[in-house]
Parts: sequence; structure tokens; C-alpha cells
Amino acid sequence: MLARSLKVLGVGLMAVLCLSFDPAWTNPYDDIPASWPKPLYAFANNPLTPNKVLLGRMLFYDPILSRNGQVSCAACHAPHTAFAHTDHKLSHGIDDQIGTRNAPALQNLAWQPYYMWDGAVHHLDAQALAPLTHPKEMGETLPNALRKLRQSPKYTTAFAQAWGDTLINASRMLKSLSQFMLTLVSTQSKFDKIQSKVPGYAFSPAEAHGYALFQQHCAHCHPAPLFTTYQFENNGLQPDSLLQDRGRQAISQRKADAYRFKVPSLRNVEVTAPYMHDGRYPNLAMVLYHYTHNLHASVTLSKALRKPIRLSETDKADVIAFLTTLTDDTFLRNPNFQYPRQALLGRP
Amino acid sequence: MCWVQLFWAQGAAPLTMQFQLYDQAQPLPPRTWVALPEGARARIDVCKIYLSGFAYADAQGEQLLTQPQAVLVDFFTPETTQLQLPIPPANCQHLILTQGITPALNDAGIGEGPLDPAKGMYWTWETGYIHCKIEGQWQQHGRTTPFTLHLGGFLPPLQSAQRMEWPLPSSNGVWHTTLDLHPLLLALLHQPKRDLMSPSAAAVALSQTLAQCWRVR
Repeated sequence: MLARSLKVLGVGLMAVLCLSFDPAWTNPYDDIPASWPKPLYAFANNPLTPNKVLLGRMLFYDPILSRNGQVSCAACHAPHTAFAHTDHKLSHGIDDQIGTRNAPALQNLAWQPYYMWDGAVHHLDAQALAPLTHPKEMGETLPNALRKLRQSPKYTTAFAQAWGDTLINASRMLKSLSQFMLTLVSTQSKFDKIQSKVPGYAFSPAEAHGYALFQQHCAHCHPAPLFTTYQFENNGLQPDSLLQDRGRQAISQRKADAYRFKVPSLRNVEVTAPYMHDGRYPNLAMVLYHYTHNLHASVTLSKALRKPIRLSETDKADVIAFLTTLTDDTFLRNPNFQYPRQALLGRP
Repeated sequence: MCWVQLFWAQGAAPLTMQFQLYDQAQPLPPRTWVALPEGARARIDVCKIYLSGFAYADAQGEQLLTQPQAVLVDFFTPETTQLQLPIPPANCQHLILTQGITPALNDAGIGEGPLDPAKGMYWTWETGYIHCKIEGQWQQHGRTTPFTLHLGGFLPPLQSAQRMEWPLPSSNGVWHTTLDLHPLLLALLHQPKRDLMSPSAAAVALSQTLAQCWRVR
């Protein structure tokens, strides 16, 4: 009897240990450069804790949230590509259905005033509901997703550790997902180190020239430190007659918003191909070709793009050299962002 | 019976607000056909409305006691049709409230209780709470078709939550609050589209009509 009790206790202890957070976890907002703006996310309503972050990470990587148990958030948001969806112009979801846009990178989300390419989602805590319930993405209903979590001993334990009791509801699930996504902070690129005057870091001549050109031609919509304004702009893409995607207009129903999409951050842009909301450009060279030779004129074209941008091939190469300084290897390889094998599978 | 309760920090014994659906001054039970002009008929199967942003105000409009929380009144679920309010301060003359969810509550993200998105009152593809859902059947020209009004929207000019100001009844106790849907159904009679499930000018107009349908006795 005693042996059996000890065995049960041992299994329980193992479960607790398996779900415990990394003791080395630190709050990423303790190290934000002083020159950065204040995050917009109201942390007071959802203060980061290691166990909630871990729970959110489990939910992010676990296909349990999809209708058929095969698609997780990470299916379209892979950590080694700054949580963007590579290899596909248009992201695909449940039953191999193809969507209408390329899943964007997930980084520095606490500074975003709205989410999705058209800003359809106004709050990070609500963001996960869209892919979870979309018939072409995860195809699940919220009540079903919650029911599956409640039936899972693993999640009962994880919610209890994170929230203090075993109640599993939508608010807790979504806030936990937010907690993990809020830790996806990228501030350690070569550019950042140069800005912070870290010894040993400097632009190469090509990068420095590219930076000057970037400041002249690109920074209007992609200013440091976030490398975006998060405003909606029409960047001169030829409308796709098949997709018929009018961007922000679908949300605001204002003609002035036709073909305007949220300006994406260029942090980690080196690894987030394909580019644009519909993934039409497979590399940065084609993106620069677009801005120098291929703009589609329309009444809503961004004012910043109405004056032609002239760049030589060397200029373009240098701009791309600069853009690679925005790659944050610390972010891309952060072990705390990877698949939580121990927590989900119970083994290292 | 469970009552929906709103607790203010102040206030003594609570008052009770009792909600009931009406058509032309008559109680309207669920799935009951009502006659409309031009030989049309309609019946209501679902009627759920958020109320939020409660405040008592004096004659000058100054808010003396506020409660930002929301309640979800489901007219066909008795447990949600009674609401407890605190006794208003002596100099109060109005109850201010919002038909729908206030922008402040919506901007705060995902809520619990009545604001739990699992209640089906949340748009996930264009996030924000659905202020009200009214669904039913419509008969006209020999055809019966369902109609669906999911009225929501937070972005101007399609912001469809409606601020309302009701005079306080002269006596305390139970406040019988009726929602007479007849003006809304008349508005629907000439509506080219009776399925509204996204923010639109029509949704704003119907929300404004709906806000005129409340009466407190």
C-alpha cells in the first residue's frame, strides 16, 4: 500500500516537474532598450508569469486546438523563421485548405495596436480566436477546444500551476497564449547591438551604405526601432484578381482603405520569406524590384511611394545587406520559444 | 431563480430590473408569430442583448455612481432577465447605460462571465463583441425565411453600441423594463436584407431603432 502510494506520489511529482517552467526564465521586458517606445499591451491585466508563459507555449504548439488534432498555431508560425510561414505563398490549414494570405511573423507583439494584415483583430488576447475558429485554419469551435483541454490531465495540471486552480475557460486559455506570444521579443540583432554601441559590432561599408539608402527611401513606413509604423498602406501591389483582397477596406468599409495592409516589421526580414500579404515575392531582391520598377498606381497608393525610388543594383545589394543586420539569431534560436517537448510529451 | 447582479461599491439594498420582450404592448413569448403590415408575419427565436456602462446621473448629467461591467440579457432565459441595481443616490434622475458593449470594455480584450467569448457573442474574424443577436423567421409573399441580426461594430462610423439615458422611476422596487420589438420589425419590413452579420450602416440604423424600443415602468 505504501509502495503504491509512493508510486502515485512519484508519478504526480513527475507530472509537476515536467510542467515546471525553466528556472532560468526571465521577463523579456526587463531588457528592452531605453530608446524603445512603451509597449501598448496592458500587462497589468495579464502580468507575465513563467507558468502562464509555459502554458501558452504548450497551447501554441499543441494541435489539440484544431478540429482534427493536426494543426497547431506553430504549423504556420515556425520559430526559426521568426514565427512566419515560409515555403508557401498562401498559408494552409486544416485538411490542406489554402487561405488567402501569408501568415506574418510574430514578434514584438506588445507594441502592435492591432493584428492580422488588415488589423481585423484589435487585441492580442482575442487574436488566437481567429485562426482557431477559421474553417480553413484550425476549424475548431471555442467550446470544443475548451472541452478537449478540460478532459486532458496534462492541461488540468498546467492550468492549475499557471492560474492557481483547475478552471479552464476561454479567458485563461487566450491570456496564456498571449503570455507566450508576448515573450517573442526581438531586440538583439546586429543593428540593435550597433545602436547600443556594444563593442565589436559595426556596420560593414555595404551595410552602412544600405542603411543610408534605407533611411532615405524605406524608413518612412519602416522606422526604427520597430521597423514599422503599424499603419495601413497601399504599397503598390497589383491587385490579385483571384484573391480579390482589398485589405483594410474589408474592415473599415471605407474606399480610402482599398488595398491598404498593415505595414509589417522588417525585423528578421531575412528569414520571413515569402514577402507581402499574399507571399508573392520569394526573396528580398524581388521586393526591391517591386519598389523600384513595379508599383501599381492607384488612388490609395501610399504617398511615400508616389515619388519614384531609384536604386542601382549595387544600391539594392547594400540595402539587402543592411536588412540582414536586422536578423536576431538570439530570437530565432531561443530555446524558450521552441517546441515544449518536456511539457507536451513528458520527455526531453 | 438566479439573478444577474451588478454590485456597486456604494448603495444599500439593491433594486431589481426585470426585462421582458414585448410586441405592441403585449408580452412576446418565444417563437410566437406577430402580425405586421402588408400581410407579413415574424417570430423571434433568439434575443440576446448586452447592456454595459451603467451609471446613475443627476439632472445635469453628472455621473454619480458608475459600473462598467456588462450583463447579457437573454430574453428567453429567465435566469438572465433580472438585474439587481443599487439604490440610486438621492439626487439621481437618470440611469445611463449602453445597449451593447462599451468601447472601453471591448478594448480591454477578452472578458469572463457574460463576456466569455464561448457564449457566442464575439466576432473572431473582426474582433469585438456582438452587441446583440436577434434571430427568427419571416413570412411574406407566401415564403418563410429565417432572418439573422447580429449587430456589432466598434470602428467609426460603424460603431453600433447605443448609449441610452432612462429616467428613473418614481418609486423603488421592481423596475419592469420592456423591449417592444415592433418598431424594429417594422424597420425590417422594408429592409432589403434581413441578414446582417457584420458591421454596416444598416446595423447602425437598426441598433438606433432598437435603442428606442426600451421602456421602463
